[in-house]
Amino acid sequence: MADLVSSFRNVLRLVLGVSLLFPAGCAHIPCPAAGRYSARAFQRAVESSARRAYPSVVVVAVERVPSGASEMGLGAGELQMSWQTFTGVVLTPDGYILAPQRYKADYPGRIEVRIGPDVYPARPVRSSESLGMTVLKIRPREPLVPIERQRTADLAPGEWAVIVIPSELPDAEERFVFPSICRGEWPGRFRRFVVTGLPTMARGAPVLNLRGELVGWLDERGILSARDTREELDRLLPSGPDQGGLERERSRGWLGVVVEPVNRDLARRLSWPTSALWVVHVAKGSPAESVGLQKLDVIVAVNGQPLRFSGPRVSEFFFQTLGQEPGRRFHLKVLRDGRSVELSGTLARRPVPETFQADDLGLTVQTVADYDVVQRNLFVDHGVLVTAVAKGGPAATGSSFGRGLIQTGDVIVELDGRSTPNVKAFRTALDDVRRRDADVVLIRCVRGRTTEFEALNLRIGKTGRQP
Amino acid sequence: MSLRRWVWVCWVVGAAAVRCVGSMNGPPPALDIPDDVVRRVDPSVVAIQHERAAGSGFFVSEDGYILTNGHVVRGSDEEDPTQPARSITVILYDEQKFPARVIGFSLDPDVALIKIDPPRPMQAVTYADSRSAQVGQVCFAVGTPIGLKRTFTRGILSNVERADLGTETRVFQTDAAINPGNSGGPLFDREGRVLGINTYAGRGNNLGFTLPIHVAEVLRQHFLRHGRFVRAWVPVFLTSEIYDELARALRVERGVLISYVLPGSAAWKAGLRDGDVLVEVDGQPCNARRRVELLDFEWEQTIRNPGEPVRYTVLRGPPSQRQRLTITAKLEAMEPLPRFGRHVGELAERRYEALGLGIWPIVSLHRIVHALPDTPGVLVASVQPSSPAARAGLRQFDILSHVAGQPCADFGSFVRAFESELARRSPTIELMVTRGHRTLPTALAPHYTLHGLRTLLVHTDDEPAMVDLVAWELLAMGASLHRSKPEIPIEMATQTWGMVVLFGNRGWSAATTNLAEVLSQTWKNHGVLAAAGASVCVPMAVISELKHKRVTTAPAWSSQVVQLGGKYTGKDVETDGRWVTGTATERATVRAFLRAIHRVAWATVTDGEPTEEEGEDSSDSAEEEPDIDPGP
Repeated sequence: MADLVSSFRNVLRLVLGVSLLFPAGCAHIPCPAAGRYSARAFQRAVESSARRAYPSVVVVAVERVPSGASEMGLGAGELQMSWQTFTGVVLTPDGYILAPQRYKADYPGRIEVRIGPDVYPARPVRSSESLGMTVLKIRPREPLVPIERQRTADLAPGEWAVIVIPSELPDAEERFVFPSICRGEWPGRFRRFVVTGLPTMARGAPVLNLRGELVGWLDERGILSARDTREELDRLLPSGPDQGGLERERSRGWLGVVVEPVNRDLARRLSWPTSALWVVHVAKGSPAESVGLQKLDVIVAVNGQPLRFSGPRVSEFFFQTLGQEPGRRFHLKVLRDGRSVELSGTLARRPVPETFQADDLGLTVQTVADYDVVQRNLFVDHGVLVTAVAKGGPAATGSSFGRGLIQTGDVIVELDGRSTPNVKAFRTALDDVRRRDADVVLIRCVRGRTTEFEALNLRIGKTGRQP
Repeated sequence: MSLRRWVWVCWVVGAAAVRCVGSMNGPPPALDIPDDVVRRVDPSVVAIQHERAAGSGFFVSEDGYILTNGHVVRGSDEEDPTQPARSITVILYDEQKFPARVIGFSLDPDVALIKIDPPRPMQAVTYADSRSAQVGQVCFAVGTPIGLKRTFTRGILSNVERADLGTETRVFQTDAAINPGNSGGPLFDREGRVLGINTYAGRGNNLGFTLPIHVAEVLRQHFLRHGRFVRAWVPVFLTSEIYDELARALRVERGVLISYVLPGSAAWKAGLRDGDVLVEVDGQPCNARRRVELLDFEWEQTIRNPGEPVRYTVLRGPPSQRQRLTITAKLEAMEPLPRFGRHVGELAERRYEALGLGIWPIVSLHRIVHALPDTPGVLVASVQPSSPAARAGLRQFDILSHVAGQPCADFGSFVRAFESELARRSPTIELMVTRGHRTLPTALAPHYTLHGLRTLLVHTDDEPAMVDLVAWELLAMGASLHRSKPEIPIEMATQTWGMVVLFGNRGWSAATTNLAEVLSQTWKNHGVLAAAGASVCVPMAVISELKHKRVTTAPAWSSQVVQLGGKYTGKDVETDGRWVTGTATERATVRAFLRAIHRVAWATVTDGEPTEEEGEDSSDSAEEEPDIDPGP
């Protein structure tokens, strides 16, 4: 009897063991039934994962505005409009939507969010330059279903990604699923999982794995990792309910350095880390200057992370890891005279140069800053830099068509015989010219290394004054 | 019909016939260009052709000097823009052909002087007074538009003061049809005297531009005397015309504005400053209210003699405090032009092909044209992608000021320091690079593919520039290079060489038995032998194995090579195992020769023996496998 029981148990174990093996074991047996079974299981996994995201995807439609319209002198009748559509993702029930482009609060075109037949005007609230994404706000009629962001996962090469996209057609409520295989990972501050062959409309779509976990957001370069971007996204959302009123775009945190990658062969020769950055210039009054960073210091680590990559990607990595917002702490490790030096400080708000648009001259100018001298290879460090010249204005009208008197990049050092080291002095000198009601005004500017003298005729041009 | 009627019909028909025949021998057709003028000028115009382009020209002297455009005869040597095209042929109006040589050429003003050696006197042109040319004047162009020789086209002078094409001088504008191929041909006035050289055609209809003959004549004289156009200047200041608004703003009636003076230059030291208004030169008033007047003024100054003193009278200061100053200076010969605008420049690049790096000496115009700081050193002329220079992060117009920590104030000291690093085969050569306001060190890591192959370069004295090129390129490839004349000293003769390179055409008779010994030993030890031009005959006379090997040389020595038993192929470069030969007649073929040397030498350094290459023997089939000699 005991023998019978024990052998029965063994058989049971055997049967159980085999039956446990069976679903997986089925795949080892190359028969059509096994294939159909696997395929059906796969389809169910894809569908159940995708359905988690169905209620949270919307269509974001943006009216395209050609950039020329914002230049001086272009008439409104010449503008052409067209719409671009992307996928948006619902982040909160009260109507915060994630869109895959950067739009400032003063974007001149219309932005709409379409949920099925409903169309809502949308306002850009905050955007992130490092993510390349914007949070929009709408007033939905009913609470929306936000995407589940707590359960996130990464995607391994060869793993299936489930991409959910709403239908582009107006009034349509369908959702479409694009299963894709991950081809690998693109490293960086925000990793991207690479998938290919998707429609442009798919930009912004949420991506899940077969277990229904959120992997990330699709943009043109791949799937932005949800894990890596969680903190950044949280910062874009306001902590409380919608405040209303104007929201300014967050300005970039400013360190105040101009950097250049260290040549790898040189680094190896000097036994330095091969990913490193020269400090070429430290801006006056910047956080870098205040913590004692010096020209020709070699940066090897930032915020605890050693620099990675080579060439221009080192600088990209450096600035992305440094952080974005004013007030954020930074920590640098630099090599100086063979020693390692650690420097810590706080990012400041990027200074906005003083700008002035002189319509009667047809010029826009800004005060030259010390980093302008380095960035633009200027040969003068006091003056006003010409950033725009109005077409048809006095500054643009020389003796030949297309060859203006003043060009962008010129630095004006004298106006009407008076020195113009900054915008304030320029405005003072210009006020004098206006008071005199002068016909012509003499400008001395520096172009490259050379000096130019030009006299603008204030009676001509669209923005010239009428006698 | 009655007889009477018949007679009447015949009379009517006969009279009509006589009238018709009579009208066939009627008065001559009206000619816009008189026949005698056409017959006089036709033989003076030629067609000019070379390997890459074609144009027109005209005789200015009976013994065969021809004026044409510079862009018709310019060469395509990337490293040396002063080289003209290789094989220029002049075709006369009666289809006779002659080879031509270039006496001198310039791209702006776009003039060239070439010469043929005709067997009899040629029909030369006469000049018109181009300084008195007038708008509306009838003119006709003769040339070879799109290959159609002896084409006459006619029009008027549409404008004689064209100053806004970016050319150094004013040009005439005509509506006589000027097409590609007319370049270099003459524009005649009604009497068949030359007004100018047809140079450009504008986009649009009937827009042709002609360089005035009085400008071309100046260049002709310079080319004859100096081989190039030597401008006079007081370095360095820039001028501008005082256009209407500027005159009102500066409150100046006449003069030329000096807009910029390079600090530290001779003009600066003489006392000129930005904003001075030049009113007199050597006591003569000068004035440029329009661009064409500025170009004319500048031209008159440019064609003066270097060395002459010059006196400038300038007005300085605001209208209320205006001073009148006199500044004396001396005109100098302008430094060689860099490449800018229409100028291809006169600076030869020193290009290390194995490093992907080309450098120029820096001239003061470079600093203005490219907004360079005053850092001394050399200028990067070219960087080849994916080369050691590109990996070092170098870019065109960077200034290299230090080599291995040593400052190099000029081209010569840079080259010496750089090439001594190459000779030492330093794994990385530290360079200090200035780009705008950034001055940072970088490291150049050459490949040194020849890994110190002991190389003897034996050369004669007749081609110093090309020998230099061969030497610096072998160094950049990583050879351990030694140089010698054909009279090799005994210490060199007793050493072992991995490669011997012979270069030069005249002076091999001075070679001693040491050279023969070196060649034989190198060949026996499976070293590489390379020779170019006449020097090809030297190893062939010594080493019997070289007979029956494929060989090439310049045409002048092909018969000698054949007599010595070589299989002469006539290609620019030929390799047969470890025997490399070349014509080396100019830079492109010298470079091809060097590339072949590199290929063969690199193989011996890595594998011991180069693979045998298939030649283009007519008897062999193309499918035959190359022989691979397993080596020692």
